This record gives sequence, C-alpha cells and structure tokens, in this order.
Amino acid sequence: MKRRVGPILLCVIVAVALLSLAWTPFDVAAIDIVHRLQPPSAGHPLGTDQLGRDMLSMLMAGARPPLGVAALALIIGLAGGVPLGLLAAARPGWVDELVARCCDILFAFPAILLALLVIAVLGPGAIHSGLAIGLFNVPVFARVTRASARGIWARDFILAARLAGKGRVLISIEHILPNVAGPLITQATLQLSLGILAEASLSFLGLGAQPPVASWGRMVADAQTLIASAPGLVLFPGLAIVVTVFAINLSGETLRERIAPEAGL
Amino acid sequence: MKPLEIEHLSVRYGETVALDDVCLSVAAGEIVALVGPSGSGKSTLAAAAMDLLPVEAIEQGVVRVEGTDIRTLPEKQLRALRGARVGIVFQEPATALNPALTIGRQIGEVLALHSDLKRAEIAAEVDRLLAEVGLTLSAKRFPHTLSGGQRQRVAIAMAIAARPPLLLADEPTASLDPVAQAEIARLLQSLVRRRGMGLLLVTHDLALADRIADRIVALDQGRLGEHGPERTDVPPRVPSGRGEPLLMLERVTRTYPIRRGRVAALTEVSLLLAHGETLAVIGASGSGKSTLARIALGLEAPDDGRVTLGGRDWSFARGAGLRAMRRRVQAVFQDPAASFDPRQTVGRIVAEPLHLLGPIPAAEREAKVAEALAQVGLPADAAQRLPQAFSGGQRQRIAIARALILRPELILFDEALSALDPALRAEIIALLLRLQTELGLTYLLIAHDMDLVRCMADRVLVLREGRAVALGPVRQLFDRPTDPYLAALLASAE
Repeated sequence: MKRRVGPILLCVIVAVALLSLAWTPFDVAAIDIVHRLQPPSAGHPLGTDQLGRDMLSMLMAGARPPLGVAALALIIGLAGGVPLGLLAAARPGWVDELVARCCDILFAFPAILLALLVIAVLGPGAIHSGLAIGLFNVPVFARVTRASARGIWARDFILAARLAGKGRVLISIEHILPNVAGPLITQATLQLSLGILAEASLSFLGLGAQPPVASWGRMVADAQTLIASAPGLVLFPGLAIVVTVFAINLSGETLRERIAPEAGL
Repeated sequence: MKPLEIEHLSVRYGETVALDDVCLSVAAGEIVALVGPSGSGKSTLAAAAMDLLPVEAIEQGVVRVEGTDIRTLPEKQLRALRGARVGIVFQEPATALNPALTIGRQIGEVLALHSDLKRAEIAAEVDRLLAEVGLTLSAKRFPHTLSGGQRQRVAIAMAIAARPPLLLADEPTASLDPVAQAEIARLLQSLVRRRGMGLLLVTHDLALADRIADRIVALDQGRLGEHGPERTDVPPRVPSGRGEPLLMLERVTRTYPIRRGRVAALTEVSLLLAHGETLAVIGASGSGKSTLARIALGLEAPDDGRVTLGGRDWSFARGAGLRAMRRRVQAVFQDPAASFDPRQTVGRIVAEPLHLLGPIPAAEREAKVAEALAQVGLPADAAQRLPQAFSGGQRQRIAIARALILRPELILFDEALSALDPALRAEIIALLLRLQTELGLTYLLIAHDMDLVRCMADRVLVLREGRAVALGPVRQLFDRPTDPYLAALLASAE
C-alpha cells in the first residue's frame, strides 16, 4: 500500500488536469464580480475568488501549466543531457572536458536567474518557461549520466563487448544506457518536482502562462493581498503545489524500486 | 576460558539454512582455519562470532567470547567487545582504512577507544605496533601511499592494538599478490604465537590454511565436515604440439601519462605464441600483465613495437579486415560478477560476439548459443536466465561459453580462475584442457597462481615492472629458477 500512495496520487492529479481540458464545474474565464469572494457552498465547494471565478474549477485548470511545463522541461533535459553525458563518458579526453566545462558554466548561473534570462529574450508564456527550465535540466542530466556511465565503462563486460567488435555508440546504447537508468530515474523525478516549483515561481512572477489561463503559481500571486480576508485563495493553490511535488517524489521512489532495484550498487 | 566457543549454532534466513548445528572453538595461541566453497556459510559464521548478523537472520545456539555469551549482551557492551576483545581483519585493506586519515591516527583511535593510554603514550604505542607488524614507515603516511601488503599490515595493527584475545581474519590475503600473501600469512602466524591470541581464519585458499593453521575446519552447505574438501584430480597435462606462430609481440612498449611525464607499463616485451600452445604470463600486481593482455587482444595499441595475429598487424587493420581478426581472439576475465551486463540474459551475453558475423537469423543464433552452453556443460534453458542466478563457477562457464561461440583460435584468460575455490578451479581446468584438445585452441594465461600455471601452461613469461625477465618452458623455469625474482615468486607460493 505504502508504495502505491505516490503513483495513485499523481495519477489522480494528472487525471484531474486532463479532465479540466474537457470539463470544469464552471468556466474559468467567466468573471462574475457580483459573486466574488464567496465562502464554500453547495454550488461552489471551495468558494469563489476575487473575480467571482469558481475556485475548484480554477484549481483543476491551474494544474495544467505546472505539469505541462515540468514535463516539457524534463523531456528537453533528458533529450539533451543523456546523449551528452553518454558521449562524454565514451570519449575521455577533450570531448569529455568540453562537455564537463560547458556544464560547469551553466551551473554557475542560479537556475531561476537563467530562466529569467531566457524569458527576457523570448517573452513570457508557458512554452517559453518550459524551454527555460529545460535548458537548466540539460547539464544536470549530462552530469549524472556521465558520472554513472564512466563507472560502467570500467567494467569487464565492456571489454567483452569491445572484443565482440562493438563500437562506442552501440556499447553506449546496449550496455551503458540500461545500466545508468537507475540514477537517471532518481534524477528525473527530482527534476520533475523542481520543474513544478520553478513553474510556480515563474507564474508567481507573472512570467509563466498568461491570463486567462489559470495556473497555481499565479493564483497565489493574485490573491496574496487577500491572505487575511480570504486565506483559502492562497492556501488551496499552495497546497496543490506541495501535494503534487510530494506525489512525484513518492512515485519516483516506487519507480526506482520497481525498475532498478540494484541502482544503489 | 577459550577466546571463542561456538555451541550448536544454527542460522536461518527465512527458509534458507545458512548454518546447521555448528560447534567450533578456538583456543589461545591456536590458528583455526575455516574453509569451504563460496556460499558454504563461512561468512555467516564469522559474522555470528561478532554478533553482526543482519536482523532478518534467525539464530539458535551459544556464541561465547572468553566465556561471555555475546548474544545476551546489550548493544553498548557489544560495541566495546568488538574492538577490545575481538579484532577483525578484512579481505580488502583498501576499503577497511579511512583514506582521509593518517595510518597513525587510525591506529591511535583504536587505542583511545579501548585502552587507558594518555596521548603521548598512544603515539609511542602506535610506533611500537607498526614495528610489530613489520612496518618501518612513518605513522604520518596516508593509506593511499602504501602498497596492498603494507595496508593489510596497518589493518592488522589496528586489529591487534587493543590486545584482543581473539582475532578474526576474513580472507586476509585474497586481494594481495603472491609475495605479499606469503608475508601476511607469516606475520599472522608469528603474531598469534607471540601474543597467545586465538585466530579464526576464514578462507577458501586451502594452501594458506595448510601452511599456517593448527586445525582446518571445513564447512559445506552450513554443516561442519570432518576433513577438508577433497581436491578433484586434474588430468595430467599433455604437452601440445608446436604449430605455426599465432600471436607475436615484437619489442612492445606501452606508457601511460601520469601527473608528471609518463610511466612505462611495458618495456620492449617480445613473445611468440604458437597454434595449440598455452603460454602463461606471471608477475606481481603492477608488473604489466593486464596491459599485455589488452595489447594482445588489440583493445589497446602499443606506443612502440609490433603486435601481429596470424601475421596481421593489429594497428593497420580496419573494417572487414579488423572484424576478421577480432573473430580469432576472445577473452575470459577475472571477476565473473563484473564481466556480464547485469541487465542482459545469459543468452544475449553468450551471443554478443556473434555481432562480428553481421546479422544472422534468430534460429541460427539460438542454435549457436545452445551449442556453446552445451560445450561448457550448462543446460540450454540457462539462456533465458540472468547471470546473477548462477554461482561463481557457473558464471565462469558462461564467460567461457561467450568466448567459445565464435570458435576463436586464441582465448586469453585474465586471472580467470583466481576467484574460484579449489574444487571448482580443478573442474574448470579440466574443462579448459578438454576444450583445448577438442577444438585445437591456443591459450594465453595471465595468472598469479603457480599451481595453475604448472598444470596448464607449456611455457611461461615472467614480467617484472613491465620487463620480461624470463621466458621458457614451465618445467625448466620452475624447477631450476635462475632469475631471483621468479625464485621469490615461486617461494611465496610454496
């Protein structure tokens, strides 16, 4: 049971986000000033916000940007970082040095500053924040892949593969990649939850998904002045962020135990 | 009161019985060797003597250290007992020592914990202990500046620092080269005699047990046997006929870059290996054996000199020509655990060299795998399982099957049998000799086990610090060693 909590919770969150594409109790774009800041009732289980929008509908739809942006950033990080890390491990010498030093340069910037820089160039928006966060994921995955892969390259079974006439590319795909999957999964779940947090931060600053699209981070920002009179407006989206990050971390642990139980070796 | 008394000890892990009603005692000044194949319960017994068994183990029986039943002691007193009353020496000194602290500090820590000595007295005692284990170096040295043998001496100094009545040594010489092995064995023996300690020596090296132990106790599947395990007889070696030269190294030199300049791993080594012959390469660790192996296999290029296989030079081979050369050599490596991709089935592992043949139909591939497995005496259904499901000896058979599948002419064995216990080793030697006769194979043997060299090799090459110091027929070199280094190597194995 303990192992299922994370995945079930995460599935529910994703399902709700997908459901909101087709249906929400109320239209999130429908502003109804007359019924603003209503307490929870039968019609609005979580009440309404400062513009009279249904909080439950906002929370459902607000899940889409963080999940989508974090997933996009993860895909960019994996697609860029893993091949780079494999390449660096397969070619010790100047190629390895180059990859390692490029990673160091990217790491020298604080992640959120780098994201702000990218958005300053590209302009705000959900896709752009995904690109910005994904850019920072690339060196993270490159570094993890390189470190684990170097250990695998030193093993005798790689000598056996070379004796079988296999080249660096084939060995990287057939032998190295499956054996670095464990640490990569661990890192992927970490980056996914960091991505959720980063998207929330960017949205909070108004640089993420733009109105009228709902997003947890901006819901917190918009309601921050009302925290004394209507604490629920800040509390619910904040709680949603925390629960999502928690669910991802738990799922990561389950996934690692299932797929790569020997990853700790 | 004996240092160690074990009465009717049984240990189970779930349904698996690790130890079954074992009784054993070690008297003061006595060396008891505990021998047995891997998985026989040796390590479980050693762990039980320290009450260090994992929590899921179910124990029954009595373990007394100097008359105290350790299983009834609270954790705090147990910790005191482990350092003060029982000293332990592990297999791998490299991991037993903390790389960040000087050796003097590490020995001193044991004294500070388990004796009433003052600071100044501790420094003097550390120097005395270093001298006692035969080290003349400064206590301010760090572990990485020492050789394997020296590190093991430091580990022994730590183990005996608190003057424990009982010493536990778990394969204390397994990771050392033969010269250091012999020295450590002598040191342990003299320490036990001088201090009147009891020593429980856990090993699968029967020769070591024979040499220093007063009593040998054999464990087999968790039960005590009366005698040591019977050695399987190895068929006498029939000298192979000399054929055409297959592998030739001419004045091969290989250096590696270090922080300042380069260090030579091989210097002007030449050798000639004929079809059907077995050549052994021996030497202490660091003598260049592994470099020689990689160069002979064409995995690494020499800086200078020529390496040819069947008359073709590795360094000029490209494309189809290189693949044709690759098909003629295969190798079996030392550590059966590291020589397989843990995520591939045995079938995929054994089939890997078939890559050199280009794409072939699945049915043909399976037939070849089944044939190779049958040749090494493994069932065909082994192909579907993961290598982790097999024992050490079976894994080495899998490695041999992988080396055989392409029908190569030359197979290199890089310390391939040293991780096996004696009974298994004899089995594998018999298998290799049979395969050599049946398939006309040529063997290049990298070894540090002199018995193995004696029963398998026709000729032997002795390497010392990258130079060939002797090359000739085994019988001639081993019976009348003219080179002092070879004589030392041989003496250490006696």
